[in-house]
Amino acid sequence: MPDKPHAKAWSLLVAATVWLVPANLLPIMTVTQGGRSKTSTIAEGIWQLFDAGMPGIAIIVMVASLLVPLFKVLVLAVVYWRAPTESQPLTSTRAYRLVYWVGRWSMLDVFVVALLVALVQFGNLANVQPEPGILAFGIAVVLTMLSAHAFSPNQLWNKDHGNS
Amino acid sequence: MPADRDVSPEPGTLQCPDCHTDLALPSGKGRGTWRCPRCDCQLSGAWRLKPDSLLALSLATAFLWVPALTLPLLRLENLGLDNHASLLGCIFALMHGLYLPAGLLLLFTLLIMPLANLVAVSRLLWAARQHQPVPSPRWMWVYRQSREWAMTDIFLLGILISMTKLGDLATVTPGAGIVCLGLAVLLRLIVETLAQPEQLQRLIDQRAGEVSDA
Repeated sequence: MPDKPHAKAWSLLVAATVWLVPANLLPIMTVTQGGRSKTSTIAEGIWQLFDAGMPGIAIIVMVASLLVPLFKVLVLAVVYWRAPTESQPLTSTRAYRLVYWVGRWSMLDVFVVALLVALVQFGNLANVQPEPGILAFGIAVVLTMLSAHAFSPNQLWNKDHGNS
Repeated sequence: MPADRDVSPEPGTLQCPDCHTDLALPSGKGRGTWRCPRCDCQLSGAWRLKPDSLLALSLATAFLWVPALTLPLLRLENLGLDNHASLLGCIFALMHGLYLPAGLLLLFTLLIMPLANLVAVSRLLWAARQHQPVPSPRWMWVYRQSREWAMTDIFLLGILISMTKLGDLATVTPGAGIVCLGLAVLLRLIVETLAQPEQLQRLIDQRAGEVSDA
């Protein structure tokens, strides 16, 4: 079980993991074009980009919206879990620093949806509406960032590993 | 990164914010980054910190902010109809009903935090320039937090992705706002890269100390 000093970081991480489920299962936006509506989740949006012949953009969105949040949750969980008995604090500190800075890029999809909603407003001809998945995704990203913030790398160095 | 302590424990020494190792401050003014030998935390950037130059860049960013916020970022044309969106328009697009929290998140990351970053770094650089101590450690705290939570750089990438996505839906034309926002983000990144919090704090302490000694 998590130690008390890490309880806040663990709690936020668990909450983020819970929110990631609806974030990935619920649709993030609905695009209406010529009277036909198409609702898509994050994964479907990535697939549509691949399908439309935009593999570069698709890979960027896939990394930022799909891989980074999952990678960040996993890495933080391992770092928190190992912290009380950490034998390789330098490796864990480096992993923590990496996910700390990479995690904010997951906000990319939230910004894209906001921009499309603001821009594509042509009534029945064409419009974009947000869907609940984007809210869940934004909450998950913020919770992972707050979780990383609640943890200090100093907690990895509390044990005596030598003070070179 | 969360910093637990900003102040040097003893004169001539510094406590690493990540592993709390006491380190002697480097005597030379050589180029190159200075890292903690124990945990590899970056304690100073590769360049010397010049408050005057960075203050000028911050001022230029401030001038770019108003048009970056209000001018259209993109213009969209579809079957004779056209629409445009500014940064403020994007923030308020989600500010209703169920999506209010998402709108507030956009307000926080695209408006409040970038402005807080600009004000905080300007205040800190001004203190360094004037050889004065910073009246409150809150300024450095705000600067540290805003470096993480200001996300206009990510928003810029979002604009590029949106342009590509909209390509088959309508004709997309970049607006003047995107140029101002791009320049403002570029200048902010330059200032943030050159004004590392640890290095800036040491410069402020050092310069304020020189005045009080004299």
